[in-house]
Amino acid sequence: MIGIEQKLENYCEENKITGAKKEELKKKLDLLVEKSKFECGESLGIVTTQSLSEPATQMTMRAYHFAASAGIRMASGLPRLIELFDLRKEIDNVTTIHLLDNSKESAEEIARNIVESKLNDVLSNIYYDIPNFQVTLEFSGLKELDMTLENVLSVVKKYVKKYPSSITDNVINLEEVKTYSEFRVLKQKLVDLSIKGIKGTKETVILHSDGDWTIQVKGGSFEKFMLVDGVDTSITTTTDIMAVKNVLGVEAARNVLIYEINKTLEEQGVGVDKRYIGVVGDVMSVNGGLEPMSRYGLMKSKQSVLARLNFEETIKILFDSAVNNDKDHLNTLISNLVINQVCQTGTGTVKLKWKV
Amino acid sequence: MHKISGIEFSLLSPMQIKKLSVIEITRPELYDADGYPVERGVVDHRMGVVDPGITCRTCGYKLGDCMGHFGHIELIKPVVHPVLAPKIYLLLQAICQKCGRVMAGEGVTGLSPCAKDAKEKCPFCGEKQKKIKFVKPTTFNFGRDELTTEQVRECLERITEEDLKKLEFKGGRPEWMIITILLVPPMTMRPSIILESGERSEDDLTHKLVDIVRINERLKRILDIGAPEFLISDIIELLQYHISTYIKNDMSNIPPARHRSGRPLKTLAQRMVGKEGRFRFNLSGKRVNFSARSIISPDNFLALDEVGVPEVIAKTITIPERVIESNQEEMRKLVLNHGNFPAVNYIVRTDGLKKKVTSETKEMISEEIMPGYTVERNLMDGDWVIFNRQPSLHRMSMMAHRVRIMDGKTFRMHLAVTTPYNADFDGDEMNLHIPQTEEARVELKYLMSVNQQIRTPRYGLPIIGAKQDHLMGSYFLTQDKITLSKKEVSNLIMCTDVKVNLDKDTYSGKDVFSLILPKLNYTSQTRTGQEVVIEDGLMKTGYIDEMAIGSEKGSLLNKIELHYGGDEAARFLGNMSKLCLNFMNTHAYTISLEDYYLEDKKEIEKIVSKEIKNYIASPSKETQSKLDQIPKEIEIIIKENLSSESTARIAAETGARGSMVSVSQIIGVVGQEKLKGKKITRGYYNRSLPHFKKNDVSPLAYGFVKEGYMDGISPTSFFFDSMHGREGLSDTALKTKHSGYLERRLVSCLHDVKVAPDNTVRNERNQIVQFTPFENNINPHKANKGKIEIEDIL
Repeated sequence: MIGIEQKLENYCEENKITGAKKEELKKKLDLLVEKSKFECGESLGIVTTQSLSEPATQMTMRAYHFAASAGIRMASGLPRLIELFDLRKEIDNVTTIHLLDNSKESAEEIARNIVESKLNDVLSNIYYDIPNFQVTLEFSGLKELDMTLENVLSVVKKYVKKYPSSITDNVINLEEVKTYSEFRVLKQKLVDLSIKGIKGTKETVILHSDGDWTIQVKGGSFEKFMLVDGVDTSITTTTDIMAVKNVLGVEAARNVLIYEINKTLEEQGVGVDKRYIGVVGDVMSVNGGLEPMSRYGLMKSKQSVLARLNFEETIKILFDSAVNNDKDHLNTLISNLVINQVCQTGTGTVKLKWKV
Repeated sequence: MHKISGIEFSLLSPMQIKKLSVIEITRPELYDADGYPVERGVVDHRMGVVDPGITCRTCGYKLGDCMGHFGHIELIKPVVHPVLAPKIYLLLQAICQKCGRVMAGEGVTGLSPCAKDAKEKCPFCGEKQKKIKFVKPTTFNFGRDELTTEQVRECLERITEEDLKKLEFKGGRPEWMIITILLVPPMTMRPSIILESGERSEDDLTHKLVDIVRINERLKRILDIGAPEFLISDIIELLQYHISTYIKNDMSNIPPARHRSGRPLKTLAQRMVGKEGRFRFNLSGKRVNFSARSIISPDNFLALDEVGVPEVIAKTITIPERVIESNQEEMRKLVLNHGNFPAVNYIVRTDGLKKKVTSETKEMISEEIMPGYTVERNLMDGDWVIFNRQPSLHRMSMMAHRVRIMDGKTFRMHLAVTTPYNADFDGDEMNLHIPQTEEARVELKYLMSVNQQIRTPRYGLPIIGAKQDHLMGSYFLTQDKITLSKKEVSNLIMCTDVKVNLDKDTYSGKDVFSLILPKLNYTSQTRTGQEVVIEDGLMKTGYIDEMAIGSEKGSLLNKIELHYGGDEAARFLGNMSKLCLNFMNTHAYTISLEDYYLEDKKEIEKIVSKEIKNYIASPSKETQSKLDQIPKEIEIIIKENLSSESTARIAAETGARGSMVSVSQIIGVVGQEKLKGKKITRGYYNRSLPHFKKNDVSPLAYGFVKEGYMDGISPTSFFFDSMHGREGLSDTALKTKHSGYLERRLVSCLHDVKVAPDNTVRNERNQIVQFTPFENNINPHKANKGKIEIEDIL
């Protein structure tokens, strides 16, 4: 980004403005920049809050909308905003996978490979041979999944170690299943067994826009998507902020958080200066991690006892403070408000030398 | 006045309680036969007075001056503090049951880590540890034996100071968590009220304290006579119950103590918590004097930053004004004016004595006042006051206005200023606050005034701007065809503050509008895409609509504010509103059915029936999306065919009121009614309403309304329309709740973030949040869209 001073230089060059006129413009600019600065003591936090929550009252409650003409449902509006400030872990996060090899074929292949398939999807029959204590699994549609019976067997072996398993005539046999109730437990376990793809991945949609092939995935684990071959890890993102924090670190998580809040607000068509969201991101990540805007996050790390007492869980905080011998140094707005003193903000930061 | 620099929280020791206390309470009775408080009873007058006329026996002051004094109850048997019981449990786990040393290994600090790291065998004395069990709410077991509270206290007493450091237990001695002496709050904290019948009604706390004293005394007696063990333990348990509920009456394992009427008592903890609790209701929520509240109504002849105040209010509310030599005479006149309007209600002498001005004393007082006195005079024209409408969602909900005393009983305000307050005049009430110090008045004038708040800090554009009739007026006025005679122009312009020599015989509408414009160049577009050009303050082409002067958008207004400042922008808005509304007085408009009349609606009908037919023939994504496109197509058709004279259309296109979507819903089709963002599918089995056949695929059976409001919609359509309408209503009701809580949380988390003197953004712990405020140190409240561009300085 070029600074405004540089912009002025360019402008003067383009319009052949030199000498006194240029100096005059420079002076005007300096004045404007000086005038537009923040004054010290400005309650930036409060203005940020108001700028975000005042339009929130105009936002819709409609919980879902469909992301980018694809069939994936995503939370939107006020509920989504609350979710973001809470850093709530959602099950249905949407990951947008970008590809190293930008082609339809690789997109389709990766999409096919990451979707979770359960044993139930390919299981055509399961029965229990009581006299031989043997469970037989019959399959169909394995080819569509690009899998062989051996593949399935290896997965089954991993999860059902207790019973010896083997392949005979296109079926998998599990032996030494002693009782019927044992079989029922086993059956439930087998049906839910994930045999292919990444666990929790529910839907994939392949998108094509501006020459870019991307895959939108609902659910699943961001960490695992990033490890899939052919995924461009430099630009693949997700809506799950905590996952980004765990995989890519706080800086990335802060950026995703700001991006998501901004997206949610823009969808609703409310105008908020982007830098307010930056303030929110900076405050939430000030302690080196990401803390939600709730009693479990930022409020907990506040030093001022009175500010915390005013929020939630008054009694718990009061007694904890007594045992921990906490001190309130009265440098927040709320603590000064409570004891009826001038708040140290805005014009409260300065004193009048001459009393009127 | 001393300034409080900090507040420290810690546990109260029994010694401190005794020091605080002025009296030991031993009698469970409240009053004797004469109705006088019993000596050493719970309502003893030594703990403060709550009735008028009686003096406090400790400090000698009367009601209002005596702030109350603590008493105490010496408990015969110690009692576990119910809220601190979990902490006691952790301590018991952490220490050796015999020697009392903390068993946790080297380097382990903190209460719960130490409790977790406890060994089975004490590393100091080798004692094998019994299993500790915490029986909620207040009992502890070592193995199978239940500990008496004395035993628990003995355990805690054994902990050394050194170990307390390791446990990070800083609030005092741990045995203070066992109550041996109970602090009795002063009477002022639990006042008794006298009912109409003359009966006394005591506070919940007093009731609870009576219970405690009674049980305590009974325990004393029973121990003296040497009663059986089980009886004693029963009474001890009862004492524990009463003290537990006295402190916190909503614990999960204790049945709440109830009033005779069956209502649960509101004891100490309940008094503090929640929205109606001490903290949020009384400590953070301040009540103020010098305020007024009334219904608001509009007044076009006020300046933007003025507020019309009824005389009744102005007479009651006062402003303190220091008498100095230069205003001495003026103040004397005001004092003498008692009984008429601007007058003085009180004077304050140099020694601080306050005197009321009455018709008898006015002459004497007017003689008396001299420099150094303070005069509390009525509100007068030009005084700065804070005007506010709730909910105060942003800082523009509280702005400073100049007072104009007016007849009537409502607050009057300029129309353009309704946007930041989100006010209308259907019965809205607003508040007025009158500053009482010179500092406050200066801050109001230079920081809070409406003129300073035109640009919102949210996105850096003017939030105050023309609305509704202003825009209709400016549209009609700046039409090409408008020509006005000199007389008409003088009539129009006379209500503005423009001073001009009218030397031409006829003026165009644009010329008249140019009269109120400051000198500037402006090129932009109207909402419909027509070009607007203003050269050197003279309007050349186009017309003025929402995009130029409307609230939250107006780019012309934006430019004026940027180049000439808020005062000039406010002056322009005042002139504009007077000019436009004055013009509308002679060029009125109506909206009638004719404005929604289309000669040929066949095309619309054709599109609708075609798409519906297509969808029924093959319900698919494609046909559905075609169906969804209908309202848009129809809007285009209506835009092409509807007369440009249609006031409904003009209102929508200038941004004065309504939208083209609504117009096309009235003339054309309403379109798909949605519930939760989807077609209306729920209702009956396989159909939305019983009027349709089961599994009907027709869009009409799922909330598509093919008629327009003008032609009337079918009964089923009407029902779907109502469903959609109802959803909207319940939505807004729910939304306010959620966004309110969001705001509360954001404020709690962000209120301490401010710009520090070294130009960094810091929080309450002085951590740097941002090195440069707002990334580039440009305040959107002061810069155009929060940015500085070359165009701004040309």
